[in-house]
Amino acid sequence: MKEYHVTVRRSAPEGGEGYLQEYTVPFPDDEIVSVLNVLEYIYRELDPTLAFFDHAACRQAACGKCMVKVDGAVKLACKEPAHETMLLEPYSTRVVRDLLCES
Amino acid sequence: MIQMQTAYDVVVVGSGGGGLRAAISAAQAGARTLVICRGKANRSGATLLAGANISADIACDGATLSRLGISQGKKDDTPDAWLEDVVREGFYLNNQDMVRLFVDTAGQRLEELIGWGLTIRGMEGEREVSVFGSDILDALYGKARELGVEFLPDTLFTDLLVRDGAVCGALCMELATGALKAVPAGAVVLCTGGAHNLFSENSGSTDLCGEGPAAALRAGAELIDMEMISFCPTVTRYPTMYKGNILPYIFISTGYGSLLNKYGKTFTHRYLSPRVEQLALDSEWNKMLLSYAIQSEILAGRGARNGGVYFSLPDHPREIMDELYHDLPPLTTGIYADIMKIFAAGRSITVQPAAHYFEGGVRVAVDMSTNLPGLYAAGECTGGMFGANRVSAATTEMLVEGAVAGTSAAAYAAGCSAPSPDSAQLEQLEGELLRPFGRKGGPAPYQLKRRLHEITAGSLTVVRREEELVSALEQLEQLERELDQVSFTDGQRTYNRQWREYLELRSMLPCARAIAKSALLRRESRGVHVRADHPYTDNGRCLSNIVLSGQALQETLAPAVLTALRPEAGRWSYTDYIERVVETLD
Repeated sequence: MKEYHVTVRRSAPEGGEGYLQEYTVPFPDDEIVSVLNVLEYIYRELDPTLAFFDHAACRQAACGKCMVKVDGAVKLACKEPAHETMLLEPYSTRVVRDLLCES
Repeated sequence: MIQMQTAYDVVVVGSGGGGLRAAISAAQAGARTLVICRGKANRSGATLLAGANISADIACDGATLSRLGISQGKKDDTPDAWLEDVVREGFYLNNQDMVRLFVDTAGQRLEELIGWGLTIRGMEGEREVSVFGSDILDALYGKARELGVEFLPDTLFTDLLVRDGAVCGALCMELATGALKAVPAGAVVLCTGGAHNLFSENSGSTDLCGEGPAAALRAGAELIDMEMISFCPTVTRYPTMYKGNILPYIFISTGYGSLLNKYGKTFTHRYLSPRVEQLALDSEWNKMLLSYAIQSEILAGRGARNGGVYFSLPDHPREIMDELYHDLPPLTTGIYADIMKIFAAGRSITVQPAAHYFEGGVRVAVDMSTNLPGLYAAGECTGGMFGANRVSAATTEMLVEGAVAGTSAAAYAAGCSAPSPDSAQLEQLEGELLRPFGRKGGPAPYQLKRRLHEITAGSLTVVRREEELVSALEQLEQLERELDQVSFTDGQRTYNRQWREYLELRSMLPCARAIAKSALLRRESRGVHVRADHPYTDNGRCLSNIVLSGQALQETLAPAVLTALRPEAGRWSYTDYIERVVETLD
């Protein structure tokens, strides 16, 4: 198994700076996984309160709605391969919750 | 608190091609029209992924294509010839009056869409024009905006509002804030697409959860042909990053690559006669036939380690790869270029049949009305057009039905008094939708969704059996009872995914139960519905549509609408009958 070390910038419910939260996500060695796959794993297995775009997601780089900042660069979560260690942040300042921004 | 919104004449639920087309017709008829969109209006729903933006098509008769100067390949084509093909491909379960509408108005729908700015990218078959799903959405969205249609984006539809036996509006939830909103309406048009997410393996986006059929059922409308689901045979299962991608299907359809079992052997010949196998590899019938062959190989224990079978694309000789890139130019960019790296590394993609198109759905008449006054439906969430197997284009279906539904809904709404939702119904719905927030210690929504996926994968995929279907029905009833006990870890209403999944399960569980019940009732194999325990097509005994109504799924058998063509009576083995049908196609 291979471990992905993920740090997510989360929003505080009352507004303000927010905080960083760390997760460790395992996948088999021969897997190819996206940032979105890692976020899905966190929701399913570790923390169901983490918010990211997924309510009308094509998962095929066609809708262009799952944008997230990965180590400082704005990417589509479904198209960007997960980095072994990565920092995930909202891609704009208009944060709705955690990684979800107003579109 | 439910927020009461401004009233509209027509509310359309869903902003894929069917919903946008319905909204255009309604607005053209003078109705004040609102579209409730699950995501962004022109970038959500099933239409966006049609053909994976490599090879979507809109179907149209050859004579019209000739007149429009698009193709001269089938210029002597007639609506009657096309009708015959669609009905035969549907194994005579189609509502032939609806197919008549399809073949008679497809040309008008295509022509107007070109006028609204659709780019034609070539031809795919004699009756299939090549387009991009996103181009269809952009053309329709532009026209709808021009007509003053209003949009409520990123909003989850939950229920129909009913007063005195007629629909009077829609209830929905704004995802970003968690606000519940009631929209009074003279008429509602359901255009919610397929129920792909009932299945873990599906080729759709995450917004397709069967909200339309489930809400219609709760409100008193009927469902038809729910057992009929087309599976796309070779959808990516592994690696996970590309799960759901249909590129391997496009390769197979174009003629590239091969399917191998865990021993590296080809296997389709084990299940299909040479003639039928040829058809499976060379025609649009490949969806049904290859799904059957692949699922049978998996059930025989010869599937791949990760669940499906292997799709292999040999990278030598190099000339073959040159041919491939020449035929499919999009492979050099974007996500497809990434997928090609897997083959370049000498690996394969694990593929398996995945839920792709739902032939069944809300029962509608030819004017797209339902048995519930004020309720209309169009596109994939309806049933009846394609009977037991869709071969022709779903994009054409959504345009044809959407255009009629919008006109019918606007005419009905014009004769309505001001809609006024029933406060008792709103109060009851609010209690049900918010219930998990007040609970502790119940199952999490995702646990129920995982179990739903185990049931659908085990019992409702390509090859079905009585005892599995009986067990599936029992388990699904149990899950619906457990849904009442669900509680959340997440107490916020702002973009709460657990809440969304609870609301989705409220749609998916009744849809799954309707599929299991219909599949159990159809004791034969016909089209995309294959029963291992009834491996024959029986035109003598089974030429009826299965209609379900009410929470208890009360069943009625409705004789198929055979106004133009009748099949030969008799009973044949499943694959022999396919061969017979195919021999008669135009």
